[in-house]
Amino acid sequence: MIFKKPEQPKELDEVDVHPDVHRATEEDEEQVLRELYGEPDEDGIYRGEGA
Amino acid sequence: MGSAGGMLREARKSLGMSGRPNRITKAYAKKHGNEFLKAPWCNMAITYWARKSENTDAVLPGGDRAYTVAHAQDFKKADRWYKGTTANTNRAKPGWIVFFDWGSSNSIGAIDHVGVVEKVLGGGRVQTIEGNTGNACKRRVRSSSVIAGFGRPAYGSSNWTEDIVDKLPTLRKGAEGEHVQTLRALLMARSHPEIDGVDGPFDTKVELAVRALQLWGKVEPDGVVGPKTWPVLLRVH
Repeated sequence: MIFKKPEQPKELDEVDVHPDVHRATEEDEEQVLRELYGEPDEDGIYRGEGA
Repeated sequence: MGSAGGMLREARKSLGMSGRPNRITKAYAKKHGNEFLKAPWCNMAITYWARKSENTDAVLPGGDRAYTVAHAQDFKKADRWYKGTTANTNRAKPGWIVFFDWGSSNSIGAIDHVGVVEKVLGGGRVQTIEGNTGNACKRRVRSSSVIAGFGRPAYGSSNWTEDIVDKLPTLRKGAEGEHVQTLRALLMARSHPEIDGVDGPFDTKVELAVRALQLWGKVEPDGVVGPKTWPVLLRVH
């Protein structure tokens, strides 16, 4: 059993901060996702059949 | 008992979720305090999907997490941590938790984002589902150069049909290749003699046969063969 250190809301200031979190980091991301899941919806979400 | 397939099914349900507060931050805040309602939510999404899919013990070895570094440390302490090398990225499995550092450091302290592996693409790349990327839940493609490491959840013994279906691609009209041959053979075995042979593309004739099979299997008849239609073809739904 792992002892859980209580989380501090301030620690979340360090989460999702790098610009790359929010953008594609692979040049062919759209092409790969289109091949796997078809065209994205109007919001740019590749849903495929499973979503 | 949960499974990697169950974890991924929950993650897929969140695709397109955006803004704050949202269903995921509200669920976390209800247990841990209102300060989480509008906080960055990538790790809260992992916590939410784990709880919804009965994978709490496997995915959250230290309990609920919103802070990425703490979650990665939990996997390290449980001896279930794999550095984000190219070799480990190629060895990852659907359902593994993937932590990002963006600076090629592979340092747990540098992690600020997390997602779940949906497909292993080879060449040191994975396709993920991530919460709070561009303020929404989206599919992404990431390479080992931005991956700090992986947490390997101790999923229970999974359902073999889920394992197979998770590895099969989504096929639609125009597709070609060996998986289309498999599809054509299965349609022939499911009383569709109009599919005259295994060699050939995913054409209009195949699409019509798929729609008929989907109606029979009570799956949305969209003519696309994906995770809901493969089990009907395999008669394991």
